[in-house]
Amino acid sequence: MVRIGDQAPDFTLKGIFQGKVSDFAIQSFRGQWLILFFYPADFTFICPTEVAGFSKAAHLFRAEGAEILGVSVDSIESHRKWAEELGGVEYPLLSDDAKTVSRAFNVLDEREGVCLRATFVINPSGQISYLVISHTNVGRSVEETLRVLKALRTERLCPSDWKPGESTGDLTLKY
Amino acid sequence: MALGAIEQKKAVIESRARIREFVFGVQDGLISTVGLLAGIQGATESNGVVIITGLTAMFAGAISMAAGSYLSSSAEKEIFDKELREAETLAEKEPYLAAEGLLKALNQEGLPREQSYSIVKLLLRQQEVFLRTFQEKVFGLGSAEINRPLQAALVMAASFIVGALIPIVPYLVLKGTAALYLSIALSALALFAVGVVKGRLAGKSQLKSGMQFLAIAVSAAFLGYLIGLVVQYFFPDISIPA
Repeated sequence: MVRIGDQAPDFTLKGIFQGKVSDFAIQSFRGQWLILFFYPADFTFICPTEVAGFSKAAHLFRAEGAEILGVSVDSIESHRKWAEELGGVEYPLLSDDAKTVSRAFNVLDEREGVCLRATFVINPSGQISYLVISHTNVGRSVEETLRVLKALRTERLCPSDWKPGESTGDLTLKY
Repeated sequence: MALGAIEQKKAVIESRARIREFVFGVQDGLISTVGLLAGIQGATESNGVVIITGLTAMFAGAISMAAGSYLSSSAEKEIFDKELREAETLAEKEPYLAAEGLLKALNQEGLPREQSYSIVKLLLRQQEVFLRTFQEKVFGLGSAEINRPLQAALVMAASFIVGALIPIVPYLVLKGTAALYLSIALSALALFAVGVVKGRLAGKSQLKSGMQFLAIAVSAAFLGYLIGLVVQYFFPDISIPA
């Protein structure tokens, strides 16, 4: 079971970014924030909105010093064609075809053999700072992920529904 | 096969769906009448009584079978129509799920996922085409009109009459046991012939199909006879007044 504060499981997976295939090691993201998100499958009518959503917002995450990695159990070839179909994806899509990484993060739906919709925010020390797993029917909020990332980066106490620019750490705030 | 022939094929399939009522009607007409007439023939000397009984049973049976066929066919049709409507509502309310369901169905039939995706995406441009394909592939609900209650009832009645007439005819020309034996022989021959017709329509061995029909019908008659013997064994004192 992966919990908040745990060191994220180590892995190296093949991935594709801008048409090039290479190895992506989680270790190489040390020192920066990492949004690691799992999704069920390429070529589906339910997922593209969030894969594309993260892609559109990739520059906003980079502005916060964070990189994004998308993971599913599909092959690299499938990822390549899927990225083309979506008109390009602004972050690497990794292939967990052996399902080891999804299992290590405890987000593999063993019955269907695909990943659940899970998002992990991993801090520069490689620890898990935030995780959310939703039902396959419910797409993630890219905006919420960005809000959480910004809140985490303040390293202060952020009240409920905190938005960038609002006060943090104040004792009079309700948490 | 020429394109025209393919287009005609649906109509052929729809018309051949009536084979069910045809086989059911003829078989039931034959078996129920031949048995009834055999019983009556044993009980009376009068050919007139046998014929009147046979004709009455024929019309009563045809009407009853037609009504039954109409009711069962329309029950099935109504339920199918409801399923089709529900599939339609689902596809309208949950287009992503419907698209995903169709994609999965195509994928399971052996088409690679990305190709299935492209096909579904194309189909989605035409709501009506998408809907029909979704109903057929995902729920297995076909659009061929194989369920026509009125037509089914008419075919059933006509088939029953044809089946029932065959064992009656010998009593019009012969008397006594000669008529009885001819009636049984003609009925057996007719059953065999129905099997042959079915074999031809199904593109299978006609002899085998004919024998199968005959064997099943004879077994059914023999089983009935056996049950009669068992009843007689347990209730030896009961006899049917002549």
